[in-house]
Amino acid sequence: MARGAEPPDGGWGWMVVLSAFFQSALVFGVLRSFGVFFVEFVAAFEEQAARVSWIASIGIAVQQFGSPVGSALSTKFGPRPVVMTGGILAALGMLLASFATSLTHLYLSIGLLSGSGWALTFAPTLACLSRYFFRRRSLATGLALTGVGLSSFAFAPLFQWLLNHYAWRGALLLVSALSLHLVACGALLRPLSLTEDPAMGGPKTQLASLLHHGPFLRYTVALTLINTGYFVPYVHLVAHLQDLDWDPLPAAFLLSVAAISDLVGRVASGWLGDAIPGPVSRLLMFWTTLTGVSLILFPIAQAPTALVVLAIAYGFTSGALTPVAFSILPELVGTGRIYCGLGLVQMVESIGGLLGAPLSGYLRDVTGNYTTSFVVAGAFLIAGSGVLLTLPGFFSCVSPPTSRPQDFINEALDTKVPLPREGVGEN
Amino acid sequence: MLGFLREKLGKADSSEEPVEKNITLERPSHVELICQFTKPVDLNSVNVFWEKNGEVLENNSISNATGNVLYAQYKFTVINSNQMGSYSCFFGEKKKHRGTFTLKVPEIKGKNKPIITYVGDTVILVCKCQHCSPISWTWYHRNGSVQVPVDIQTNDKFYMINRTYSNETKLKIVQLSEKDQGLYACHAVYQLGESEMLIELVVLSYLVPLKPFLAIVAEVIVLVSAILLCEMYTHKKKCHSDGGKEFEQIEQLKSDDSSNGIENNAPRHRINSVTSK
Repeated sequence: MARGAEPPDGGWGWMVVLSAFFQSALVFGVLRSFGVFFVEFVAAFEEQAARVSWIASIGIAVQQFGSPVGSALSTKFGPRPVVMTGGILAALGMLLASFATSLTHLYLSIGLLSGSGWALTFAPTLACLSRYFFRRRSLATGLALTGVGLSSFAFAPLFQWLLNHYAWRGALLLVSALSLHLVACGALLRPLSLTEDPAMGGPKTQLASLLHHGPFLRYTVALTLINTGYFVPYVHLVAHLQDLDWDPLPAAFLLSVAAISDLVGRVASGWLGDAIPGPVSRLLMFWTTLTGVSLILFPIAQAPTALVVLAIAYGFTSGALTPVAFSILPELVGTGRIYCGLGLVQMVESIGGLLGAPLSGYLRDVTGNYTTSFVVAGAFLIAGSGVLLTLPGFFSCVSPPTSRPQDFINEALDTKVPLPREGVGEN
Repeated sequence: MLGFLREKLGKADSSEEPVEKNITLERPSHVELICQFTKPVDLNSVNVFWEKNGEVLENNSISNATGNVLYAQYKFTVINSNQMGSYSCFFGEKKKHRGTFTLKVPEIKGKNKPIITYVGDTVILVCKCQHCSPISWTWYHRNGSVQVPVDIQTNDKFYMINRTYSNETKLKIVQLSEKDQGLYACHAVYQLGESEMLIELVVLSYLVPLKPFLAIVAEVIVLVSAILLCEMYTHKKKCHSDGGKEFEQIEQLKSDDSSNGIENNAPRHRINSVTSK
């Protein structure tokens, strides 16, 4: 364990990538594949689909809203104990859910308890990953986030198989055991102390300095707008396809195709983000705009081939924007403040996530089809990418200079005088 | 009051493929079956047979031929299930051209997936049919080859729930036990017959998912312990060799008479590269 070192860019960092891979699989893969359980819950509790889908919404909301708590605790205690506790909470939530007798039980156990568990795992792990890598940060993040895509691929059939053999109670029990692996992922997160850590202060100081950081705030706004439109296809694509008279099997196949291209997009974009010089925010804007455009084109496409092409395009671009979105943050706020920064971003963008799907559902109810909701989602994405134009260094042709801790301390103290920067290394 | 049904089969070409039609019938009705075929070239006279299930029927039929179209009509009344079945009209000497009407009561459609429940649970089995209104529904429990009616009246365990729309029936079973497993058949009873659907019910005990659960939990505990122990071990080894490194170097210098700088440095570098991870 090195003291006051620079990011290793390898070594144990790859184990952290592995941990982040499994961990994003176990958090978001589970969340995304939960749709398989919904049919069972609707039948078992005789409730409407809208009420059942609140389970996942609450889970996502708690995960994102609780991220600052996870981040603050990680700054204080290091990521390892926090993530391990989160894993236990997430598994406990699923375990209690298997004994549920009403929908409210599920809201509390899966939504609140597992959601808090996930809040304590996701943001700290990704932040820890950012601290372990510098030159290959985007690639590492992209590789880690492929866990989400691969797992939604594997977990949906797995959950269906579990439901067919054990019914939903037994299946939840086994998903709880699966989620317990988050504790093992947490064990892999060896603490790393970097040069700028002592200068950054405790969690409260960091949070305060972040809230005064202009570019960080603008970035948060951009991500919130992006988040509002981002989840819409996942929630409504199947329903939209059924409106177009698609059978369930080809519709599921289309989702799988989109998931594969999402996967490829993540890795490709991660590699690209490190390979191309210049601020990463440009890449994010590029991918976000393309995603928005593909969403707007969705209602226009009627022929199956056009829909398949659009699904591939949407999958690729939306996957591509995720690693970039995460790797901008260290550039903006520095690896010292990354835990708190990531936590805050997750919390604010959750507002977008909470609003996006219900808004889109409301538009569907009002207009009778999904055209307006897709267009509005695409518009949100493009608006978000527009805000990205305001980030510092967007229009420069040079790589951003190596962020020195001194700069961030001066920003926090509101000094307007830029310090001479020693050009050490490059991206 | 009897209903009325008229069904027509037509064939435009003179191919020998049989033409078929499935007809669903619920209530007793007057039925007219009409076959209208294009007359094949080799047919001079009109010779129409009507058959049911292989037996030739008496002539309740009308037939004529105008131009090159053969027309045959068969009228009868369906009162009970004896009149249901397959009716065929035949043209030609060797009965080469044929049309078949199959009269059936409405079928019950459903999923074939078994329903999985646990001991002590409550389950509701549902049978639904479209565009139908049976007189009544009955449920049977099939154990092996024996089919037993489900005891709804006296046994508190079974409730049959029929809504106002009679095209649906539900069987509610409470306090499930393992001997409630097996196939359940719902029968839709019509004046003209019955149709049934099978539903498989599986009752598991809680031990069934519990065993894999405990196995996975044990595996996670082993994994976490392994990771933490491994880290503590490499940490201890590094601290040990950090302190022992200087000692070894001093030993090397002392033991070598002809001190070749490279030879002395080599072990030291190797130790360095091992511990710097």
